[in-house]
Amino acid sequence: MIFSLLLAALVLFLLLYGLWETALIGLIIVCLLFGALLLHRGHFHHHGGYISIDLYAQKSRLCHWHSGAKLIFCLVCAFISVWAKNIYVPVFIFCAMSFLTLALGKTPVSYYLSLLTVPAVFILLSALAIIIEISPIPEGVLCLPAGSFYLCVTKANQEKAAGIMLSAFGAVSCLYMLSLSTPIYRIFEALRKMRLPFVVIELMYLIYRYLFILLETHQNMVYSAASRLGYRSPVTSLKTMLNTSFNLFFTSLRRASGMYDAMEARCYDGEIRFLMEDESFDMAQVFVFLSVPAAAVLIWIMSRR
Amino acid sequence: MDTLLELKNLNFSYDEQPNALKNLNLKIKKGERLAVIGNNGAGKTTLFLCCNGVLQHQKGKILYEGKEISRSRSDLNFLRQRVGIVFQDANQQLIGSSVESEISFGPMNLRLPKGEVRSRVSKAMSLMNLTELRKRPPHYLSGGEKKRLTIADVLAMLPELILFDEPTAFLDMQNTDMLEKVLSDLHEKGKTLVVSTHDIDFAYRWASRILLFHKGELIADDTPSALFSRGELLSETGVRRPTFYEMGVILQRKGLLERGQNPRSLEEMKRFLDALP
Repeated sequence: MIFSLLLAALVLFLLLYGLWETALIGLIIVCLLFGALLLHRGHFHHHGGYISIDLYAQKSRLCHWHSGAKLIFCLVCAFISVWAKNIYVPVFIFCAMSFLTLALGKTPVSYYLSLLTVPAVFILLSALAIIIEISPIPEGVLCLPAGSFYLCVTKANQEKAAGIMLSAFGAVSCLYMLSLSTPIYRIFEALRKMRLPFVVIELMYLIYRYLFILLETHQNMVYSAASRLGYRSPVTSLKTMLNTSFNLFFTSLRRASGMYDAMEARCYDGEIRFLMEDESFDMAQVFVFLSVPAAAVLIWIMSRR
Repeated sequence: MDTLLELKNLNFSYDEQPNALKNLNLKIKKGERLAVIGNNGAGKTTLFLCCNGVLQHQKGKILYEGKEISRSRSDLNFLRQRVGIVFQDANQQLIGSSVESEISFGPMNLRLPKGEVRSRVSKAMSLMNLTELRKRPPHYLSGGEKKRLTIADVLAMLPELILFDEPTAFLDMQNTDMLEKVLSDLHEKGKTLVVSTHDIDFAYRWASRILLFHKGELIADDTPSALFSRGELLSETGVRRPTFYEMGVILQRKGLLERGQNPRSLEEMKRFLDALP
C-alpha cells in the first residue's frame, strides 16, 4: 500500500513537472492524505480482495439492472475510453463509472479504492517507464545524470504517459462498474443470451467454481504448514511451497471429482442450468446506458476543436 | 409397508479398493428411519452413491418400487429424482453462486417449467429457513446455514427417500439440535430417511432400524435394542453401546425397569422412572 502510494506521488510529480509547479505540492499532499485514509480504512480482506467482489456485486443496488445491457454499456465505454486518445474523455468516463458504482450502486468507497490499487500499481509502473527516457544528452523539462547517460522527462513523454494512464484508468473503472454490480452467473447468463457457444460458458463457470476450491484448499494447506513451522526459514519455505503446490493438484483433483459426484446426484447431464431472476429494464437505465457514451463522444468532439 | 428401494446382491469395487461393497441385500421401506453405522471405510458413503446411481455397481440389481434401474440416462434420472443425497461436506455439494440459484440447480436439471422451479425453490427455502439469505453467495454462509442449504437443494427435487451422509460431521451443538429437528420434521412429512452417523447415541434414539457395516459388508440389520444386545458382534466391530442403552441394562438388572423397557433418551428415561411406584 505504501509502495503504491509513493509510486503514485512520484508519477504525479513527474507528469506535472514543469507544467504546474505551484499546484504540485498541494496535489502530492492531497494524494498522501487520500492514501493515509486508505491505509486506515480500506484494506484487503483477509482472503484476498477479489474473492469478495461477487458478494459486493450481489449487494449492489445496480444488481437488478439488465445485465446484458450493462455488459454492452461497459464494453462500449471502455472502448471509447481507450480509443479517444485524449485526456478528457477517460477522465469523464472514470468519473461517470465511479459515480454509478459508488453513488447509485452503494459499493463502499474503501472497498472500491482498495480494489483500484491493484491495477493502479501496474498502470503507474508502466506510466513511469513511459515518462522517463534514457538519453545521451540532457533534454526536456527534468534531467538527472546517471553515469554516462541522462534520465530525462520530456513534454512529449509526459503527454503520452498521461494519455495512456488515464485511458487505462477509464477502462478499468468500466470493468469494475460491471463486476461490482453484476454477479458472475448473471454475466454468464448474458453471454449465453448473446449466443456465445455453450461449452465456453460452461467452462468459464466451472473454472470460476474450481478457483474457489483451489484457493480454499491452498489456504488450508498453507495454514497447516505454517502451524508446523513450515515457513520458519527461506529454505524450508521453498520446500513447503513445492510440496503444497504438488499436493494442491491432487487434493483439488479429488475434491473436483467429489464435486462432480454431487452434481451427478442432482441429475447433472452436462449442461449447467440455474434459475435466473427476472431483470428489470426501466427508463432510468436506458437514460444512463445512452447518456454516458453520448456525453463521452460529445466531449471527444469538443476537445478536438 | 411398501418397499421403496431394494438392493439385490449388490457389489461394488473401486480400482484402488476392491470389495467396497460385498453382496449387499437391503430393503428400505416407506416411512422408515434408518441409521447406518460402521467404521471409516466400512462402505457407508459408497452405499449412498450407489443408491443414487452416481457410482455404477458391478454386480447385482437396484430396484425402485419394484422397477429395476438400468444404466440408461432416463432410469438414472428417475432414480436420482426420487433418492436425494445430502453430502457430508457441504462445500462439495454447493455449486450455485447464490442460495436461490444453488437450490434451483436440481429442479432445473429436471427440466421443469420456470414457474414450478421458482415455487419449489421458495418452498425449500422457507422450509429450511433460508428465505432471508436468498441472494447470498453460498461460500459466505456459516457451517449450519450451508448444511441447511444442502438439505434445501435436495428437498427442491421432491425426493421420497433422502440419504444423509454424516450430517452432523461439521456442525456445532446448536446446529446438531437443529438438524435433529429437521430430520423429525421431514419424517413427519412422510419422507423416508437414511442417515449415516458415528453418533451412536443419536442413532439409538432416532432410528427405527440400524444397519451395521463392516469392511464393505452389511453384518447386522436390526432394531436398535436388538442390535445393541449382540455383545460379541459389537466388540468385533469396535462399536460401543449407547449410553442410555447401558443405563437401561443396569436399571433392569437392579430391578428398577422391566425387561423390554429400553429408554432411548432422557425424556423416556424420566417417563419410565416417574412411572415407578
